[in-house]
This record gives sequence, C-alpha cells and structure tokens, in this order.
Amino acid sequence: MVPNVVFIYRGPHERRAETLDDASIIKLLFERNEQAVKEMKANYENLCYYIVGNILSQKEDQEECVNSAYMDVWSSIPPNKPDNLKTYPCKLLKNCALNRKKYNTAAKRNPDFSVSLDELAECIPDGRSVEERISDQQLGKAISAFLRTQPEKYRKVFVRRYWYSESVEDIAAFYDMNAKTVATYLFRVRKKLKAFLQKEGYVDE
Amino acid sequence: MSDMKLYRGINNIDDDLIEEANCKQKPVIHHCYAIAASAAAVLIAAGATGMFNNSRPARKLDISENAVVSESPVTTSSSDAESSAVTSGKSVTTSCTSSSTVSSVSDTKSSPSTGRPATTVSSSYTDKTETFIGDNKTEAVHYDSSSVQNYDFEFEGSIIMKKYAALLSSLLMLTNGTTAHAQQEVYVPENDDIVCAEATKEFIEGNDIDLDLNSDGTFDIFDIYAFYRSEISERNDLVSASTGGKIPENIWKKYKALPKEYLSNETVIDPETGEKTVYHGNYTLDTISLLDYYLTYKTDMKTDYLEPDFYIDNCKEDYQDDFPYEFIKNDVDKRNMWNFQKTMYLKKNDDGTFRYYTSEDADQLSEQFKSNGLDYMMKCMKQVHISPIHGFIQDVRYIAHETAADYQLVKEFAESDYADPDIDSNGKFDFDDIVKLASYSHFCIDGNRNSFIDDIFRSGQDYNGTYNDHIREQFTENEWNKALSFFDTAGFYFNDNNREIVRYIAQYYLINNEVDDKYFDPSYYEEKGLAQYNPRSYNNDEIFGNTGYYKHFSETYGPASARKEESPEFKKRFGFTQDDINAAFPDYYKKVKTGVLPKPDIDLNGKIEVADYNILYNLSYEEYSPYDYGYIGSMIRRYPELNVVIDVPQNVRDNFNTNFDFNNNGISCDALETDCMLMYILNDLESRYSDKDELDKALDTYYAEHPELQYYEVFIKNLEEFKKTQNIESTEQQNIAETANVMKSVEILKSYSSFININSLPTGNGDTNGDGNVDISDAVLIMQYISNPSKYGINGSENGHITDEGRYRADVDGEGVTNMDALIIQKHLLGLCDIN
Repeated sequence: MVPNVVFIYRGPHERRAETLDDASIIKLLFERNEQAVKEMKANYENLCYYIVGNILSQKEDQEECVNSAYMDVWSSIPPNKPDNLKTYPCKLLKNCALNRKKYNTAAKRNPDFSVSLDELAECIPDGRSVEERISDQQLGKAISAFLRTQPEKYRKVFVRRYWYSESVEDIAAFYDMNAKTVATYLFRVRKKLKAFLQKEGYVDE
Repeated sequence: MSDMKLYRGINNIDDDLIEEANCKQKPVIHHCYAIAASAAAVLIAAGATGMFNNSRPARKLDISENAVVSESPVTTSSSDAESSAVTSGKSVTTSCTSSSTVSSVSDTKSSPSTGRPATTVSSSYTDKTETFIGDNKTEAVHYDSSSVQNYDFEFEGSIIMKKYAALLSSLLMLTNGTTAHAQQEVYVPENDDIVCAEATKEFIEGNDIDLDLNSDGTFDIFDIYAFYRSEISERNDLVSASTGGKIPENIWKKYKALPKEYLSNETVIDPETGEKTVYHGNYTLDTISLLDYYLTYKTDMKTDYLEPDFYIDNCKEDYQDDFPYEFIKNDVDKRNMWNFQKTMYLKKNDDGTFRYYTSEDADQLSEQFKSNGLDYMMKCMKQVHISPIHGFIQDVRYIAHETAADYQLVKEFAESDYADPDIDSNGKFDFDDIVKLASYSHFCIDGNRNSFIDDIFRSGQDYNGTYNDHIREQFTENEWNKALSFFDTAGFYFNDNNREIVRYIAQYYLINNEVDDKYFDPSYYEEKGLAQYNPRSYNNDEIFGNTGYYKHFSETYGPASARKEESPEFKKRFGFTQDDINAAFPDYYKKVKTGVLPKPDIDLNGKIEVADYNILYNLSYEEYSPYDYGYIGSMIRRYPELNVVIDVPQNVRDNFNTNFDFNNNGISCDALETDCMLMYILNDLESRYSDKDELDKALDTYYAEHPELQYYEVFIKNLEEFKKTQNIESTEQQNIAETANVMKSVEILKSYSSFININSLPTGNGDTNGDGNVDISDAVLIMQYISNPSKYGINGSENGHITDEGRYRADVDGEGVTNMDALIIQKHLLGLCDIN
C-alpha cells in the first residue's frame, strides 16, 4: 500500500528534536504504518540529499531520487529487514541517482562525480572491463573484503570518495587532514584495488 | 562503461564500512586486519599439550581477566635529552640494524622477461644442508647469496591458462624467464609495494632527509616507531581512551621538521603488454611509506619487529603511556594472534585499574551498538585503551607482507618450534599436513572482521572452537585444533590471511622437498572431497585449485629442478617475447598486403572472417596444451583421454601445420606467427565492421554456433565423460556459450604497440597493378579505381581491376589511396621525388 503522503523537502531546521531509532522505524514499516516514512525522513533526509547532491546537480532530480528511495524502502520492507536502516535507503538512492545521471551530457555533469569516476577507471587496466557477469552485490562483497585488508585511514578516505562521492577537499575537511594526504591515500588504494581486481579475476582479461 | 560497473560495485559495499567512513574522527592508526575466522577448541581449558615441541614450555594460562595492575607503568622518569629504560628495568640495548643486504633499486634493470623493473634482493642465507621439521631429510639446499631477479610468475595457475588464452605472448615472456634449468633457481616473492618504496627512497635519499628521530646515530625500527607515535599524537586520536602518551621533545621537534609531502612520477611497465604508464603521485611521508622503504631497502625482516615485548624491552624512549606494559606483553609462549588481540585492548575500571575485555563486555557493546548506532559505539571506543605498540606492529605486519619481507621469516618459522605443523599427528611433517592446512584455510579464510566491535568481541571471547559436523568430514577434532593453533601462531608472524600462510608454507616445503606427484593431481583432491573443480573459476587460490602452479613451482625451485630438461620443442614454438612479435608484425603485415606471404585464411574459404580468428586461436591453444600449468593442462598430462582435438577438417589442420612458417624455424603457426596472424585478421575485421560491438557480436555468435571448434567447450565435454567413467561428481558448468577467452584475446592483442601503430606502418611502393614495375599504368589504375570503382575497384567488373594487394601498394603516402598517390607516382617517374 502506497503511503498517502506528499514528500516535501524540509531543511534541517524543520527536523524534529526527537527521532525514533532504526529498530522502531523498521517495526513501523512492518506494521505498514506511514509514520515510518516520516521518521526515516527526519533521521536521514540530510544525509540522503547530501549523497544525491554529490551525484546529481539538478534539484528536481535530487528530490525525485530521494522520494523514489523512500518509496523503494516502503515497498521492500517487508519482506526485507536490513541490519542498517541508514545505509539501506542510501544505497537505493545512489542506484537511482546513477540511473538518472546523464553522464554523457556535459551540461548536467557534476564535475566532482565525473572526476571520481575517471579516477576509478584507473583501477581497470586499459582495454579491459570488469566482468559483467558478476552482480553488483557480488562485486560489492569482494570490494568490501579488499577494503578490510587496507589500513583504516585508507579505507575511510576511499569510501568517502567513492561511496559518499565527496571531493578530496571535502574529505580533507571532514577528517581534518591535508588534501594532498587524502590524494595520496586514494592513489594507493586505487592501485591496490587494481591489483586485487586482476588477481581475483574480476577483470576481463 | 566498465568504471560504472566498478562504481556500482562500490555502491554495494558492506554497511559497516559506510558507517565507519561517516565517523567524523580522523581515521585512526590502528587497523582492522583480518584474523582467522573461527575460534579454536578450548585449548587452554583442555590443557592442550604437545602443541609445541618439548623444547618450549607449554602454553601458560592467560593472566586473569580481573587481575588488577597498578595504573602507572613501571617506568623511570625521562629527561628531555635522554630516555631511560622502561618497565622492566633491564639494561636497554638499542637494536642496530645490520647494513643493508638489499641492492639499491637504482642498480636494477628491467627484466627482459617481464618488462618491468625487477626487485633484487640478496638472500642472507648461506649454503648449508637443511632439514625440515620431522623426519624428512632434504637434499642440500644452496641459497644463492647474490642478487637475483624476481621470477615473474603468476600465483594462480588458472590465470596462467587464461592469460595464454588471452595473450600468447605473455606466456612467451614467462618462458624467457625460465630458460635452461641447469640449477635450482631461487624463489623471490614479489614486492607489491615496490612503487611506493621506490618513490619514498627517491624522496628520502634524494633530499638527504634525516630519519634518525631518536638521535641515537642510526636509522632503525625505533625511529619508525617514534615517527608512528608522533604521527598518532599529531592526529590527536580521540577515538580511543589512550592519549598516545607523550612524545619526547627531541623526537617531536625532528618529526615536525620533516618534509612530508612530495610529488613523484613513476613509470610502471605492464609485463603483459609492455605498455608504460606514468603515475603522477602525491606522496605523503608516513609510517606506511617509511616501512615500505625500510623493509625493502634497509633491513631484513626480523621476528622481533612483530613482538610487543621487543619494543617494551628495547625502546630507549619513554612515551609515558597511561596503561601498564605488563598487560600488553606477549611472552614467548603467547606469541599468537589470540593473545596479540587480547592484549591490544584494555578496559579501565572505575578505580583506575585496568583489565582485559571480557565476553560480557563485548556482548553488551554489540547489543548497544545495534540499537543506538555509531555514536554509542564511538563513545564505547573512548573507553578502550589501545596499545600503540600493537597498532605499530599491525602496520609492520601489513607492510612486511605487502613488500614480501615476511617471506624471509618462513624459514625461521618452519624450522623452529613456534608451532607444530604435524597436523595429522603421524609423527612427521609432510605434504599431507599442508593439505590439511589448506583445507582449514578453505573453512577459515581470514578474520573478516566487520568493525571495531568485532575486535573487542574477539579479545573478550573465550578461546573456543567451532568444530561441527560439517568440519568433521575433513578433520578429527585434534587435527582441527592443531590447525587452528598453527594458524593462530602463524598469523602472529605473517599477514593473517590463512591462504597466504598456506602458500608460504607450501612454497617453502616444495623448495626443500620432493613430493609425490599425486599431490599435483586435481583428482586426488576431488576424490577426497576437498575440492570440486570449475575450470572457469576465478578464485582458485587454494592448493587444490592450483595444483598446476605448485607443480611448476616444484619443478622450478624444488630439489628436482636441476634434473629437469627443457623442452626444445617448447622453446621453438613459444620462445618469443612481446618485443619479438612487435618487431615481426609490421614486416608480416606488409608482406601479406603485397602478396609476398599468404593471407591467414585458416579455413581456406578464400576470405578473412571471424571464423579464421576463432579457428586459429583454438588450434594454437591445442598446441599449448602440453605446456599449460593450469588445471586443464594438468589434467590432460595426467589423463591423456582428456586431450582436446577440435573438430576442424583435416585440410584446415594441415593448412595450420604447414603453410605459415614465415620465420622459417621449421614450425608453422608458432606463437610469433600466430599472434601476427591474429592481429592481421583483427585489423582486417575491424575495417569491415562498423564498430566494436558489432565485431564482438560476430565473434560471440560464431563461438556459440560452433562449440565443436572451441577448445574450452571440447575440454569440458571430455571432462564430463571422464568423470562418468571415474564415478566422480560432476563439476559445476557455466554457460556453454561463453566466449570469454576469445574475446579476451581480442582486447589484449589490440594493446600491442605494433597493432596500435598499424596505420603508420610503411607505405606502398607504387606498383599498383602488381606487374613488378612502377610506371604510368600504376598511376592510371589509381585514378580509374577512384573515379570508377564499380569497374576498377577490388570487386570491379573490369579485368585488371585493382586488387587488395594493389591497393596497399598504391598507397605511397600512407594517407589511403587518393589521387595524390597517382600524382606522386607521376612525379617519381619524372624524377621529381622519391616514391616514399
């Protein structure tokens, strides 16, 4: 049943002082209580807009994707019961944003996102491609396993760059680090990821 | 777009990694490394003995979790100028590293076989007769003390096979690295961090940077430790309760004065394609890069560097840590990952005393984290005191593995009584024990820790096992416990990825011992239920999935290698480098275009089509079979009934075997000839298909429609029949329409420099009509061809129309056939210019 609410963007000042925890929100979702969506918005709206804003530059696209993510959460829980409610809509949101993204249209490109994509291309040897037969989830698991073998500082910077789609400068500010240090860490992890993808056979040879 | 695929994969990483990165505190220094996934049986409770040889004391019980220790470490006060002994009050000796036994990288040169800078490492071992643990006597093993080059050998045999399928030349380069096996070669593992180490070396030595932070007159591990302590202090790590102690002022001053950022341009040569890539790196001088530099160029690896007690007992500097060192010591009988983790985290009681974490603490933390989220976890972390010594050791262990410096410890580990490798308790260590260890690593790959909570949970957890019915099929309980204990100890010294440990131990064993050939038979493991084979599997890095690799390793580095005779046939057919092929292709291309050599019309239908590419590829793979060290080759050599013969007509096969020996070495379609022919065909096909996708589709379609011609498919079919006769359970099959190997070869061939530069190959000679002369009729034919292609084009109606070869010869300026070529020919005839 589709929730009978109108999704309107509300800024951070309108956030309620008290929010429910994830377990309670999931409980509401299982009860098909529309309050669940409102609670989710209250908890995670800022984060959602932050993430989608790193990928899509158009406000309308952002709103549409965020709302679409809430709808997807409502539709998929139950039967799904994610362990982490915060990242669950964020992943749905990113998928929506990636699908929406008109990469080849220069006018609508978010330059930072495009640069991060170009950087990731370094992880794939020239003339080759990531095995298309592997699902995104399988690849995600493999990359997670790889990231866990990396020093925590490298790992966190990498995730902020390529999951949160943040700029190097923003990452440096977030962690109170030097931007060049951030760039160094990203450089190293990309090289190691490249070797990992090749060794584990995730890259077409 | 392939990078979008990767991006989507990153979008699906585990939630805890996403949460972790959202933590606003600066990334902390301590690392969440993987540990063995499953805990062992209750060794301590069972009072297990015999785990170590009799020369070592039995494992003691751990310090009681509730033992109260004085809050203040037992240290003496230190002045700014000097630091005095810490904790134990023993006399302090500074460990001075020996002078470098490692060659400078600047002395290295590119390996002709690999095309990339080789790392040279001098072995520090001397000639002596070695014996291994147990009763196995070994032959005398001589370690070459001179610098040796890296042997560029892919770890996974399956990738060897795939890379041949994709690129014949890459394997040709490998063969150049193993010419005559006149003596046992020395195995040197690859330094994965060599690029970082080189850049750091260049920066440090190029700028004469003083790294003697503790000013004791030498640069050693304690200077790097000082750097590490300063680094975490500078970052003001707020995540844990430990404040990082206090940095002695002389060290702090030197640390702050160090330049830490630099640019570096590194050229990396792809060993497969020879392609050079220049990386413009912004480097930061940090603990990791210093360790890269130190372990690559400045010292041999020592077990001391991995032992907390070493730093506690020998570090002259007093960092005034706020917790007792006695709690974090790992005495000689407790050097294993379990105790390392247990002693890494301490909890401060309300009365200011310290204790270890208990499983009750961990259970409570875990539940609270789930319900209250990251913030609560972070607050909990602030209650945790993390030993900076352990944090540093984790960095050392990580970089030791990345640089392969830890391989130097394998000998010491294997020949000491650190851990009992006789897993099956038959009184000797042999390859059956290695098989047991490999099987264990199949169950327990690594720790796969999810979060800091996992660390806490494991440190508080009792040392118990997960022996269950599933495991019972492969292990007795005693075997399981022994394997766990072995890895628990081995993880202390090596990167605690169990499969990597197995690889090290297996390699060391094979260097020193000959083993029964059955251990290289994939069926041996299938029959034991240890493995089921999927020849197309990507992740075959257990022993069972890589028997070909280990057999080849044994033949190359083991005691029997000196007796191995090189196959002259192999060298003749495959003894070419990528440079050889790049040099040969332009000449081949021109000769085919001008009709001097026959076109690579393999299927003899008068046309160059996708069929020629596919059949040539598969026939050449047939020739490679006897030398393939992957799964397929291993099986075929062992069971000849699996040999692959693709179903081509005999005249096609005769054509392949007879008509293409253009380098006159007596072998038609050797690797050089095959690659040149494949590139020619590919270039021709590309000019006729509108885009890459269309060509790919054509290749895919041919593959799917002709399974009887596909090497892989024929092998799979033979294997299924074979397994039926052997009563072995069938392996998993993938889509028979897979064209992966053929498609992969296309991409790799296109990366050859000679293929890339095909358009700049030498131009024609002007003899458009092919009569052997260059005269006005050639210029006329060009103009006729351009103005009236229906009559004078390649398929023109007129006799004497231009041919394909004629068109090539007509293109004297390399710009395609135009009226300008006709003009040049006329000018040449008037003596006004040269043809080219």
